[in-house]
Parts: sequence; structure tokens; C-alpha cells
Amino acid sequence: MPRLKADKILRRFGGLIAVNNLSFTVGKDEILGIIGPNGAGKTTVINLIAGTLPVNKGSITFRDEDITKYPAHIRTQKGVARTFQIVRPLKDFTALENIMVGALFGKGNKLNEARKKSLEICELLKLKNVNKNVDELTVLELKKIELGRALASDPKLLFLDEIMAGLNSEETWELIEIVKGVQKTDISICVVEHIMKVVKELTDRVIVLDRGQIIAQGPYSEVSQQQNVIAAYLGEEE
Amino acid sequence: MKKYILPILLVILSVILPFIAGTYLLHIFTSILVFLALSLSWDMMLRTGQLSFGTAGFFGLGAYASALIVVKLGFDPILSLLVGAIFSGVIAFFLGFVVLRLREIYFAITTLALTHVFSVVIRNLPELTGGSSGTILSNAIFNGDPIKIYYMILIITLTVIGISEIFKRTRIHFAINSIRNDETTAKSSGINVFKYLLFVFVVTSAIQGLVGAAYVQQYAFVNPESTFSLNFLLLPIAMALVGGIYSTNGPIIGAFLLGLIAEYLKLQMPYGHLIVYGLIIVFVVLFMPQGIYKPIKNTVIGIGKTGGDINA
Ligand SMILES: Nc1ncnc2c1ncn2[C@@H]1O[C@H](COP(=O)(O)OP(=O)(O)OP(=O)(O)O)[C@@H](O)[C@H]1O
Ligand SMILES: [Mg+2]
Repeated sequence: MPRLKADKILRRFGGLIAVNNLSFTVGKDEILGIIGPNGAGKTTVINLIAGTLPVNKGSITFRDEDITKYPAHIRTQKGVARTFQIVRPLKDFTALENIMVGALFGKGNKLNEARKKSLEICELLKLKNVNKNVDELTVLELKKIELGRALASDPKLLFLDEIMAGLNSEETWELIEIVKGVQKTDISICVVEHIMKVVKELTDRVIVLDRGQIIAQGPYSEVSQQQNVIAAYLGEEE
Repeated sequence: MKKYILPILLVILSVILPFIAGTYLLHIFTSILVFLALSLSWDMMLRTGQLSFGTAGFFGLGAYASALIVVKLGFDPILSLLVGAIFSGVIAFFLGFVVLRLREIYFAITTLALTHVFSVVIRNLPELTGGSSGTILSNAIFNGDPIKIYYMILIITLTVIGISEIFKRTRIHFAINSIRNDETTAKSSGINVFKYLLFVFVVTSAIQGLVGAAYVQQYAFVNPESTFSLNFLLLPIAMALVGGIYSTNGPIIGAFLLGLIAEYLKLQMPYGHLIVYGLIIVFVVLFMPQGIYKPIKNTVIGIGKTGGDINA
């Protein structure tokens, strides 16, 4: 059984169908890429699987358990974690405390365990200013907090929503190496990305979304050559 | 160790106060402690991001539950304090399933409306509650002994301070702070938002009920107008705002400051004190939005740091 199975999930916003009868799986040792033009429904897919939004139809199976009806916090506790495309730090907390929240409630750690584990995660992420308030942090540090909070909940499936966006090339490579390291610790990963070099570097397989549906899937090198994929991206640029 | 010296001194001072202060001063301090406990309870709810205007409502419910169980069922007045707390807590638990779905101004207005509803219900049950004219208890608690009453209120207030510190030092702090900052992040981090909101709502309402019960047992009299009074809503809020919200020390400082100033002004110009009182609040909210506790704390720490640098 794959680690995650989304079966014909559908989500409407008023008259718009943002995710349309979408089915896909994520394997145990896999980094799956989810790509597609702006507004294709990538973030909505993450929201549906993480429970931030309910599905209108379809079912979600995670580690052989139907989680379709579970609220977001239970899904996190069961091992589905995500970062936000637009970072959502907790502003009255320090960097370390932000990460601790994931350990405390996602994993259920006690305070001192959570602090210890979060410090380890900061080390892994090369996050230095752990005791600074979030309003003093750089974009890269804020992205690391998103990732750190997700990792602290000890996930089995991790969604990364454009964590490289807005970073320079050096910073991007730093995060790519970190994500590769994470995947080795038995965490399945889904990356949503617009930056193609990241997709190429990280993913084993990609699915291409357009208007809430899969228009192509396979290894990035193959998919990127397909006519309909190129057309979907070109359509965006008009 | 050093940071515990001041709190310990203050606790000792509050314990020996009856031996050094006269009846008048003791009365003022008793009243300040009542408002301090309410102020802290309001602040604890605010830490979740929910602005409650229901303080007077749950205060009044506790007051009535305590008074009626003594008058109608002959309960021991001290035990009736617990009844007041539990009654307000239980009502908050059930109402919580509805009102805690609301946010921001909708939550605030609904809790204010609830206060009014409680008072209307009580006015309209004259057989049970005495209606608008209220109910007189045959005897005040401890036969009205001001020293014992002071200690009763002191124990309650110290307990509330203890609860507030537990809220600050445990995982509860992480949960409610996260909920206030960003509910979506909180949920995605595994926090059961509703569970924590309900927990805090029940605890703070129970505190308000307890304080209401102690208040009514002190005066041996309860009526809708004085118990569901705006005083028990607005003064605690003002104290927390002036002292500094989201903390234990803020409401403590605010309660003593405003409490003492109010007493002094009352003597200087009867009724005029409310004007000055209002001005202070406006001034602090406009020019010191963090309240006065944080700036003081930062200054003290700042001085400490500079000293360290010179030594180094
Ligand atoms: N909460 C919402 N309410 C209404 N419409 C929404 C909502 N969230 C997304 N949409 C719409 O659903 C569609 C898919 O949006 P989504 O954010 O999932 O796209 P995306 O693939 O993540 O795009 P991007 O690459 O720009 O991040 C868009 O048309 C968007 O406007
Ligand atoms: Mg998106």
C-alpha cells in the first residue's frame, strides 16, 4: 500500500472547481513533485490532504487509515505535516518556540523533550538565531521555521508548498540538501514548486496539475517534454 | 533565586497586612483583590485571542448560585463558594459549544448579550431569586469579620495568580498563544483549538463564579443590578490594559494602581474620580499600548544588562 492515497477528491469554491476528481498516491520512499501553472490547484490539494479545508467529495487514505473526516490537528498528530506557501509564523514566539509547537502538539512531547528535539531540528536546519523573535528573522529563516515546525511533529508525510520561492540560489541549494536529508529519515515528501531546477533535483516523479486535474505524470525529464504540459505553462504566460 | 524575592515579600506583606492595616485600608485591599482576580481571569481568556465581555455575567451567576444554595438549601457558606465556581463553569461549558464557534467582535458581543440574558432570567424568577429586589442572606460569611473575609479573598486571588502562572509556564501557554497568533498554524501543528478554547473559557468562568460567590457572601446581599454591574466588566478590563495584557504581573500592577488611585480620588472629589480614571485609561492605551508592566520590566532588564557590560 502507498503511504498516501487520494481517491477522486474534489473541492469547489463557489462555481469554481479548484480540485477536480483528483486521484494520486505517494509511495513510502518517494519525493513526489506537484507542479502546474498558477491557480492549478496545488495548494488546495495540500489543504485538502492536511485537513485545512474539507473535501466536497472523494476519500483520503493515509497509512491504511481513512482520514477524510478527520480535522486538521488529528491528521497532524497522525503524521501529515505541511508548510505554508505564505509563511505563517507565530509572531509572539521565538524561532525555537515556533518549532516547539510542532513537537508539543503534533508529536505530543513534554516541554523539555520538545525543547531538546527542537534544538536538534534547528541544528539540522542550520538555524542559528533560535531565540530571536520572528519579526527579526530573514525570509530564509522564516522558511526554515515553517519546515522545522512541520518536522518537529514527526511526520510520515510532508508537504512543502513552494518553500524555495523568494530565496537566492545559494539558499535554495542549502534547502535542497536539507530536504534530501529529511527524505532519508522515512518521511515521504510532496514538493510543490515553480522552480524547475528544484523539481528536477529533488523529485522521483511529478504530477502536473492544470485546472484541478492531472494532465501528465512521470519522471520530470519525460513530463517536461510533453506538448500538453508545455502548452499549460505557455498558456499561463499569455 | 533573586527573581523570587519580590513575589515572596509581597505575599508575606499581604499575609501580615491585617496586623498592620486598619479596617478601612483592609477593606480597600479586599476590594482590590476581588478586581485583581477578575482582571486576571479576563486576561487569561484574552490570551487565546478571544475578547470576552462576559466577566460580569459569570460573576453574577456564581454570586446567585452561592447565595441561593445557602438561603434555600442551608448550605455552608464556605462550601457555597465552590458551588458558585462549579455552576459558572458548567454553564460556560455548555454555552462554550455555541459561543466558541464565534470570533472577534461576534464573540465579544455575544458574551455581553449573555450577561444581559442571565440578568433578565434572574429578574424573571422572583420566587427563586427574589426578582429585581434581590435576596438577603441571614448572615454574612464569618459573621462579617473583615480579617477573615480578607483572608478568604486573599486565598482566592493567590489561587488565581497561581492558575495564571500555570497557564504561562506549561504547554497551555504554547497552545493558547498559538491560537491567538494564527489558528490555521495552530491546527496544522496538531493543536485541538476548540478543546483549548473550551478549557480556558470554563476555567476563567469558574474563577469569575468563585469571585462572585465570595463577593456575595461578604455582603450577604445579592440583586441583579449590583451583581451584573458593568463595574465587574469594565474595571477588570481597565486594570489589565493599564498594567499590561497577556501577563500575570500586568493585571496585578494595574489592579493596585487603579484601585488605589480610585480610592484616593474618591476622597478628593466624590464621583469626579471616574473622570480621572477614564483619562488614565485613555492615556495608557494611547501612549503605552503594552501597558506599564513591560516598559518597566524592559528598563530594569536594560539597566541590568548595561551593568553586566561594564563589568565585562
Ligand atoms: N479559499 C479559497 N476561496 C476561493 N477560491 C480559492 C480559495 N483557495 C484557492 N482558490 C482558487 O482555487 C484555485 C486554485 O488555487 P490554488 O491556490 O490551489 O492554486 P495553486 O496551484 O497553489 O497556485 P499558485 O501556484 O499560484 O500557488 C485558484 O483559482 C484560486 O483562486
Ligand atoms: Mg499555491
